Amino acid sequence: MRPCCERSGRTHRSPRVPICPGEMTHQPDVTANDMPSPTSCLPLSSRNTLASPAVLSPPLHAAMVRFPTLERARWNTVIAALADLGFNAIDLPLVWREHERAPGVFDFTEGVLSLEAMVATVRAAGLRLVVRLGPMATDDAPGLCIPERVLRDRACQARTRRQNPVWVPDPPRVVPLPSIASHAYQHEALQWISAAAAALARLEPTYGPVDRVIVGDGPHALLRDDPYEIDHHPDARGTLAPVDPPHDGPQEQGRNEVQRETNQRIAYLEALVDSAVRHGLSRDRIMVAIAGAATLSPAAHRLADKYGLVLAVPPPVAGSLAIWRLVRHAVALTESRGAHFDVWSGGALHCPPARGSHTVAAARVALAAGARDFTVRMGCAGNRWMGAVLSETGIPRPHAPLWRELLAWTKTLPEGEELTAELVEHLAVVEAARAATVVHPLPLGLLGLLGLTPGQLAAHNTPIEPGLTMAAHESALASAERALIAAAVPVRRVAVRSPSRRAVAMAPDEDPLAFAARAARSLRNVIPTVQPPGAALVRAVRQRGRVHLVVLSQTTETATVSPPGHGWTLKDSPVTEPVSLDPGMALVLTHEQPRRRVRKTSGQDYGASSAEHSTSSTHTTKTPRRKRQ
Amino acid sequence: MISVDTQIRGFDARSWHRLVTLVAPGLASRAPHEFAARATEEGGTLLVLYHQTRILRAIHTHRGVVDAAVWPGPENMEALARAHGARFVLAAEAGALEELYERLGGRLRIDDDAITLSLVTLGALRELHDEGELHFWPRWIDQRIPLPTPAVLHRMFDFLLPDGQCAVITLFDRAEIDTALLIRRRGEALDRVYGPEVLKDIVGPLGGDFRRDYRIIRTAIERTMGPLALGLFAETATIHSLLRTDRPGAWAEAIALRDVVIDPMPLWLAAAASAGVVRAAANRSRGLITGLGLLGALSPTMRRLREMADAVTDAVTGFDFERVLGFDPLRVLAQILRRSSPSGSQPRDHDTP
Repeated sequence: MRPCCERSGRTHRSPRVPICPGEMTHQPDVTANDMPSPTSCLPLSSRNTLASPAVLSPPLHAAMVRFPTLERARWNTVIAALADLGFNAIDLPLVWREHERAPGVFDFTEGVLSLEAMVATVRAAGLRLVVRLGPMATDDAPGLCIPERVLRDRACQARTRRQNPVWVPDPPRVVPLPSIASHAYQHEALQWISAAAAALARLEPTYGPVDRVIVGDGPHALLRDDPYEIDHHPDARGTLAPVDPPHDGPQEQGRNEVQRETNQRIAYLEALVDSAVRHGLSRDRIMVAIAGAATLSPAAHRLADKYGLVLAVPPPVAGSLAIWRLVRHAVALTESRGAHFDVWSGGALHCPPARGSHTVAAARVALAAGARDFTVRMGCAGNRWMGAVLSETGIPRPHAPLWRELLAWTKTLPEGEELTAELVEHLAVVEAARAATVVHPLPLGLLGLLGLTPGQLAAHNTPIEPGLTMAAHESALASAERALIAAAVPVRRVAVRSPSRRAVAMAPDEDPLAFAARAARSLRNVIPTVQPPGAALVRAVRQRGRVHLVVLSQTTETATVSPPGHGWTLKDSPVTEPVSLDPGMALVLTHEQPRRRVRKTSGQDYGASSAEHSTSSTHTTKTPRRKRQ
Repeated sequence: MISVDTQIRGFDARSWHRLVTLVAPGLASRAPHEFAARATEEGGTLLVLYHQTRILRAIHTHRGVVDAAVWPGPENMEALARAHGARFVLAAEAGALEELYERLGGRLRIDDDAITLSLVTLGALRELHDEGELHFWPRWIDQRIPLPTPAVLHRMFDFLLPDGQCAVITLFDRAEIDTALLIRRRGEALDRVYGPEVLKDIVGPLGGDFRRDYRIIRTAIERTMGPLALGLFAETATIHSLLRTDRPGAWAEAIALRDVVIDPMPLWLAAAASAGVVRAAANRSRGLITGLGLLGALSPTMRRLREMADAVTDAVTGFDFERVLGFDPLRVLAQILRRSSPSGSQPRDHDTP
């Protein structure tokens, strides 16, 4: 494996976060000195060769099928049952340890391992195809999907400070986490990706291109991701001394650790992508899996402008607001390249149990928040997964009709320009929070998925920039968010403020309540009246001359929703009185806009009677143009 | 115990949830929109990370991050729990969890089975507790009680489920199988862990009365899976309340009244059930004297009062859980479950539209 600098012959710099005039200006400037030593780098693909947006139409609604764990005679039944429920795609994770026959020798053809037979079954049912290469492609397979010989090879294992293995649960045992910086592990992982990609590419002339290929570990959260605890593998750190968590002390060393960790992860993921591309897969169909929450992943922030990201939706127990917030954040983060979400149906052996109706409810929140393409994990698995949509024999389980209803409901969801207030939490905040973690060595990615924000996990006095601490930043965002939600104003936390000068984004030194009032004034024509206040979350979308309000109940009380003005419809019926919204449910209100000429007066807000003026005072962001298959 | 090769299947979301939350109600699923309502309820666990006298962060399992600035010390954890409506507290000095991971890192091996893994983990936790780095509230098990060795626990496993035999728990909700667990041992590990879907496939249609159906279930399992060492049949609600009761002899009484059917009933269990009556009398006497405090259940007085009952059990089986483990696992479990929040499971949840 050749080092990146040798390959490209130039210095790599992290992509800079666009910063608007007047916004916080602290921006880490990663130089060659901050990068891992050349010998610990993987080849980086050219940063000038951007992947095309992996946005497909219609949206991918996939169910994961662990085909090697099922009897081959049942494959047809399983695929047909999932198609009947309304899924339009099947997601196939390829598990390294199942396909490896001997070191470097892989079997994709025999018996239940036959990828071609499975792909043929999916295509014959008229469904689209998502394939995950991993290396850690799914969390139901034993041993993190990795062959035992690799897990047991000390050269491949991540290390703690005392050079112990980093054990992670793999019920009923524990297994050592591999080191993504280890040359030995990189070699093994790339060998697997190459073989899997080549096997997949060989099928494309016959069965057509795979609609989406996912590489990378996750998106289930890793249970050990503390930047100070791991990774102390010699290939990861060279001669660098370990660093103690700084809490609210001097941050420089901590941030260097986080940037070093981020660079290694990006280099690893890009090497996996490059390997898949070299072996015949199209770069513009590849997405990258991110473990844990994007809100706490600097790697996700830096990769989002280059690759579509695959992210987990939080479990139901995280609550509506956490799911809503994370999906809204992820959708905004991945605006240019798209996102693919993993929603839950059941869980692996080590996951807390989740009832079927609750997992469907969590998916409903994610979809209402803007999730477009998704995979239900699990559609069907033959072993070690509790609560898949289908039983191991392909029979729909009791909660399967709920998925059918949900999939049908997705057709009513709007796509288009978001009309929203924005709370900006850019890369520097994420890096600062990670560096100043006070919950070490608890897994930040998992805590993020459970709804904790970067500011909640970091030391209060951590400086983000001169005069601004983490506590002050978090307090301001939380206050503004509370006020906006109480007033039913569409709001989202975003990583990067829209470059639009008309964006309704909170300025760094703006009083949170003053901002909430300003946003409410600016967006007043897309703000419904919700009773009781705060009982629902609102998203406003403009789409081809229509405006849609997606209103999601987030409490156990029945709420009432009154649209902002006249002319709104609910399922094509005019809304003339407050609409009742059951706990946990969502509704979509629509306002048809009459075609009008654009008046040149400025300062008028979007509204029922002035549709074309909306962009003059509200933030609009376009969904990427969709590409037909 | 299960291994990497154990086949685990046959659980839908509801039946798995029902089974797990019987013994771990804290893991109960909640709908997303119930988050705010749940946060107002008493219960849950408070995780505290502190450094010297300063709390770095306090995270409540129902409420997320909560405001707490001063570490009151391990002796005042109860007050901390009450202040935040928590029923359990786990506190760790900064660096303690890293130390725990390092100790586990140095002691565990990839081939360790679940028993060894659990004991090594408990051993490391106890060390850090003894060193004053980790704190738990409330305490149920006297810290002087030594951990059993892997050999003792393996012997217990051999005793409970001999090689080649099966065990089944079948819980009913009125006329339907609510949840079930069917296991079979092959060698040192379980090779099959099946849920109600597989059990229903094996058994076929049932009459709807577990007091009659148990015979059909037993016959079907013995025909298809192997000899049955233990079968427990009851209503889920019965087991739910028995697991939480502190009434001595409640299990024996339930078996006698056939609210719980055990078939086949192993000799050791028959002896224990018979001894339950004696135990009940002894415990009632003890309860009058000392009350039923948390640690009281493990006091030396109670041991003396139980000698007669233990003698009955030991004479037949040569095996006594409390003597082996140093504590009564069912009693400790009941105390934990009584403190835990309700699992929220309804007899009929709404997984079907």
